[in-house]
Amino acid sequence: MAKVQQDPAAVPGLEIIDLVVVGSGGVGKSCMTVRFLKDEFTNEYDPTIEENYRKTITVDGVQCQVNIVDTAGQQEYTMLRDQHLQSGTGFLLVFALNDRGSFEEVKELRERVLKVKDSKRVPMIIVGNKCDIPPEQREVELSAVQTYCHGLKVPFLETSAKTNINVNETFHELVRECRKKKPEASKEKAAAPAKGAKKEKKSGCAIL
Amino acid sequence: MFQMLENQFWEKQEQDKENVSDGDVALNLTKEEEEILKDSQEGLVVEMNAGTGKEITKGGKLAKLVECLTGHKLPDLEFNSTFLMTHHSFTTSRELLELIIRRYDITPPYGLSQKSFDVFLNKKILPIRIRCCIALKDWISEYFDEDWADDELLVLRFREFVEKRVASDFQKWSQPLLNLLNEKLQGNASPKKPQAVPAVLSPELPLTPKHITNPTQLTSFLKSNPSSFLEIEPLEMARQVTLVEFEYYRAVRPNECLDQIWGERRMTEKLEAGLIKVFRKGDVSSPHISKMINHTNNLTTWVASCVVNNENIKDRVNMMRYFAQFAVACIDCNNFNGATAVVAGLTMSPVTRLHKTWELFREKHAKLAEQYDQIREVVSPKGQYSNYRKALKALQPPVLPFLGGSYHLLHCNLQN
Repeated sequence: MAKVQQDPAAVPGLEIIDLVVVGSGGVGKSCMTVRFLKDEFTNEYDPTIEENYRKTITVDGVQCQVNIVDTAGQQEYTMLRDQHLQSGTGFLLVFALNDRGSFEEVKELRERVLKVKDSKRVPMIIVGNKCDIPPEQREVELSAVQTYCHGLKVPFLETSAKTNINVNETFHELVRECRKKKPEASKEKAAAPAKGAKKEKKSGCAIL
Repeated sequence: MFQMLENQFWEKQEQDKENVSDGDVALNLTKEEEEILKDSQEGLVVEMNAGTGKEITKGGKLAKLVECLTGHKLPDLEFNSTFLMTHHSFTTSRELLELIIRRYDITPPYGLSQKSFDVFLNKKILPIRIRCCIALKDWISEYFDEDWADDELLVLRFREFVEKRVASDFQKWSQPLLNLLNEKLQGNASPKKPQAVPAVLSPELPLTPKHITNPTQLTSFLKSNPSSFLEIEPLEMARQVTLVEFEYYRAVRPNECLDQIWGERRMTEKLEAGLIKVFRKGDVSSPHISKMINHTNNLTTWVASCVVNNENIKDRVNMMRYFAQFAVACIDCNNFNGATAVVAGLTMSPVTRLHKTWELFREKHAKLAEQYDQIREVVSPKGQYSNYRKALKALQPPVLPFLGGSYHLLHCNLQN
């Protein structure tokens, strides 16, 4: 699964983490991603360059390289979603604070992620983007989000990709989440795919 | 006809420009007159390209952009074609036409002396009016299908404007403009010219099961049993799917790619913004792309359901083998859309969790499994589909690309 690719830029021993950014259309996935990845010294951002989707960061004193898959523009390919989710170890579930529907979507996405990864605990973080909007435009009740996230023990952050609030923090926190799950994950990995011996059941319906 | 008119116009503009650089003495322009000739840059975002030192208009208020489109100074051709193509993302064609008409009707500021008035008329109003005509000509000739073909009101308003206003000012412009529109309208009514189709010199015969000799037989055979398609060679299946998808693909118009949030959502937004008046369900702003996406989704679902609908593990392994071969054949046909759809189908969680089935598949068909894994790497979304893009670049067309691999690029570029 989370295969370490023969990466020319990879430093031996450098931890590599694959992150996937998901969420409804227009919540700011690309903006978040670009805000995080973009070198502050370049104005032009070329999305066709693969290197632009990876960044080496230091979290808690330890370096790691994050590879990011931005699913923006793929919403209509509903059936391809699993393929995207499969490629990640950590997930950034983004909704917009001024769009209630997008929060509902995040809930569904979370279920989906768990299903695809076939695990009860998957490193993820829920992000309420666009916190720079005026209060009267907010559609999503903060307390509702907090209760939801708290209950599931998923970290939640309010961000603004526009004004660069909490964007780096989000990715750092997600890296921490990935590291927390690591010991577990490797155990699971040994047991799960390809070699797994679980008897398959009738798979649940995919609600689409 | 247009070519000549335009050339004349530009030559004159060039001459005037030289005159100006000779020193304004020749024209005796006063400071004030220069001032009134200038277009203010307010409301425009202009960036300097460090490489070429050229100014590039990046954005601005709508009215300002229309000014740029029809400025009395020398035009930025790239800007013009970009603007005409993308105007849908911020306005409607009707509004744009009104703005061009308003621009055409530009009036000099109050209180000018007779001499200043003449300067303004000759140096600004006339060139602008001709530029409006040129813009309309470009718009109709380049984007007739997108903007003009279905919009009777737009056509009506255009005719009215050209017949009443332009005809009285520039006879030599009005007639060609009307002719152009008429030609296009007639051309549209007659069947479309076939688009370029890659020439296949000797198409191979379809590979059908031996006992099938005609299409009717094939149909009833395929309908007889949901898994009878297994008797069709995967290569033939891939060919047929490629032909179907190619039809969808070549129907896609360039400006459909601009509505980055595809389909209904975009239409609802347009409706709310007053850009469209009615929205019938099923009406989508990028119909051909939507069709293609729908088809891809269906193919993916079909692949996944074919696998999981079999209770017997051997049948499932058979299905997997078939679809793995299908994916390989798609790549052989340069069909990335098909390959991606098939891989996605086999990657859907109800299928991936069939660990035992996969195990048996890999054991029994090791070589095929290896080939399949390679394809999976190619169409993987990792690195924002970088493997896919590399593979695509290396290929010789005809190629059927996977559009999803490029959408986010548009998305990114438009947003940032």
